Amino acid sequence: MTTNLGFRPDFLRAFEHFNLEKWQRWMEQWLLGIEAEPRIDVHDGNLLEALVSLYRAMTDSPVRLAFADAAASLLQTTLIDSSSAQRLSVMIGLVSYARPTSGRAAIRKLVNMDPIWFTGNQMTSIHLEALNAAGRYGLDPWLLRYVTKQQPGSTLQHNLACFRILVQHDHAAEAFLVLDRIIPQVGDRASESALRVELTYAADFLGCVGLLRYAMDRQPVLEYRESLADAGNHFSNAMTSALRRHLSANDLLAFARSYPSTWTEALVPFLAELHKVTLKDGRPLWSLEFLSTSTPCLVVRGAFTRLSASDSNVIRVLEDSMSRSNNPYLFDMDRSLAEFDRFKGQVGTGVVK
Amino acid sequence: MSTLEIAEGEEFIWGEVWSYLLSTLANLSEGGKQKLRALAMTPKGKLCATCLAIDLRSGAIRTQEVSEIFENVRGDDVCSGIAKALSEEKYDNLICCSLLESPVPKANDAYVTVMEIATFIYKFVRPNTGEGFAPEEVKKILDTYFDDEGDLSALIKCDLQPSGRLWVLPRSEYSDLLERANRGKSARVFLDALGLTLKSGHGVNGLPFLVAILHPEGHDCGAKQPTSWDVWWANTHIQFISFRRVDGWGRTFSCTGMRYFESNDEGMPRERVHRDSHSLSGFTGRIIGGSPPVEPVSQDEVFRAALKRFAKAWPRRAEGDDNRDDQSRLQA
Repeated sequence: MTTNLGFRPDFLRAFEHFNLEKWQRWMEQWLLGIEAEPRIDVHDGNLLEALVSLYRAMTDSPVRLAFADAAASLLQTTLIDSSSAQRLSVMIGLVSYARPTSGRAAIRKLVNMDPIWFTGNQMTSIHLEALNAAGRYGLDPWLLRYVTKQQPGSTLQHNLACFRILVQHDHAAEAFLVLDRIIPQVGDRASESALRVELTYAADFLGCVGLLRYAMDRQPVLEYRESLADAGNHFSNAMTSALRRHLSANDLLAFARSYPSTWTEALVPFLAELHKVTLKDGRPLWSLEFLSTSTPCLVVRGAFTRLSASDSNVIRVLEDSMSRSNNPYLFDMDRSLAEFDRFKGQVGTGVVK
Repeated sequence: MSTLEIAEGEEFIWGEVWSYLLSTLANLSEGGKQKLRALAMTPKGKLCATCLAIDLRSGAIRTQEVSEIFENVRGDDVCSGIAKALSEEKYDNLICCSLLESPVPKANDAYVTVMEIATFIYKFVRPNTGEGFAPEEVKKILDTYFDDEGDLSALIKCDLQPSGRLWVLPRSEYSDLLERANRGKSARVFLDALGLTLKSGHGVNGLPFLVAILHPEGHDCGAKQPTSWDVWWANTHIQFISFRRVDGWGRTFSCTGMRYFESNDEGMPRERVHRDSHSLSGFTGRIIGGSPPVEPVSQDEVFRAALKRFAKAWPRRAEGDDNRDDQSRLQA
């Protein structure tokens, strides 16, 4: 019989008497490539994966805590140099997973070191791994200061990691400040994709409204500064792609409420643009159509195809909200409901006249 | 055919494997010969010897390479010694370097890599973002990289260490397995067919959770038919058998020994291996799903299946000879 994690209980009993020193010695041997007893199965030579599996298989006990502490102490004593890159990577991975209290200082030391120590492909990754591990310990004032302050020569990956940490800990305002320094660094398709991944996560974690507001606020700056035109395009693509997955009628409602006075001037074109770029396979995930007639009439037809009929209530509130706004146009509720019926099953409507 | 007859037949083929290796590696020093003899002591060692014999006979690896590795094996455990020797930088040129021709697959049959989510994170996500495989990180990674689009373009760096290689299968066979997996609502079919003997993973409750990376059409990562040098022989259990020269593809050996493709030689999915640390720009990610581990057949059974493959592995003399050889060997 084996545990869920593939270890036989009698095998795990072999570690029962292990304390901090024994774990240190045992791990040290494995790090040196010596298969110390009790032997674990290092599949395809991946030591980190094997150690994490062992840690997960152990029940919460002093032995398990000692295991994590041993990893932290070995990390603390490892030379920070490319010659120790493999060892550092294993130890950071283990500490990041187990998060022993004693590991925080070692991780902080790594994060705080001058980037010059982390040049070369593998060492750059190690600094990112350490930064990510620091985020897993929580956002204390020290880390908050570190991730919000612009580090000299910080790379896009570094800034994205800072953004992710702030999002994870619900620090939206600071995250958007970091986003300001990320956008100019986004210059190609790969970096746009990297930004999209983090924005998708932020949309899921923080909600879409904050992101929409941020995009609305930054749009003019990105449009008018020629040097940012390229970055602005990449940012816009990444943002719409991120919103595509998470935007809901509730978000739109909250968003519309934030901009009652600028509905027609700013919000409508913005949403129209958003609609245009979120078309997937010719079908909108959600859409707003604008039909101008000879009279000063603007029809906004919100087609929330991804929403169920119950969302019609939300759409009504949205319409209601628009009708009460200081909008030069009047809101035709009857016509809007008739439109809604016409598009029933896939559409909710609002008509602004 | 009775069990005894099969056993006798196997004994005979093992004898052939052994004499073939001894004659081919006649130039080994006494120390090297000792290491070679030590292989015959365990089922895993016998499997290793048989795979080497298949590769040598098919012309996939050179005699000189085998001799050199055996001269460099240290320690009592020869299989682990081979793994360690192969991980030395000087033998880097042996990884994914089968001498058999491996033509690039047709445009509509591009490569697919299937792996456990932790391997994906370790090789592709960690070098780019520093993220690890704690449960909340795994969830975030699945949500952001494996959505409907599965756009993996953000992953520009890749770290294939420590194994230094990735295994691929053709898209057509991936699709077939996926269909079966969808029918059975489980990724078990992938674990079994591809011979993935994972005991645990990073899915719910520590179960293996598989994802697939779909290569863009026409992408050439220089994948080759796998040889004995592409196996991490230090693993406790080996679910690999070399395959003779046929079409530039190897064949997996399923965990349960079940055949999956009757039209295919050996009935197992085709496989190749590559060492190209490419960016994932243009690649697509797909979730396959989780499954309890599949208990593999014993190492003895894998060894027996390897003997059958050896029996079919004859040096090719001319086009079409393979089939004739197969038939005559089977009749014999």
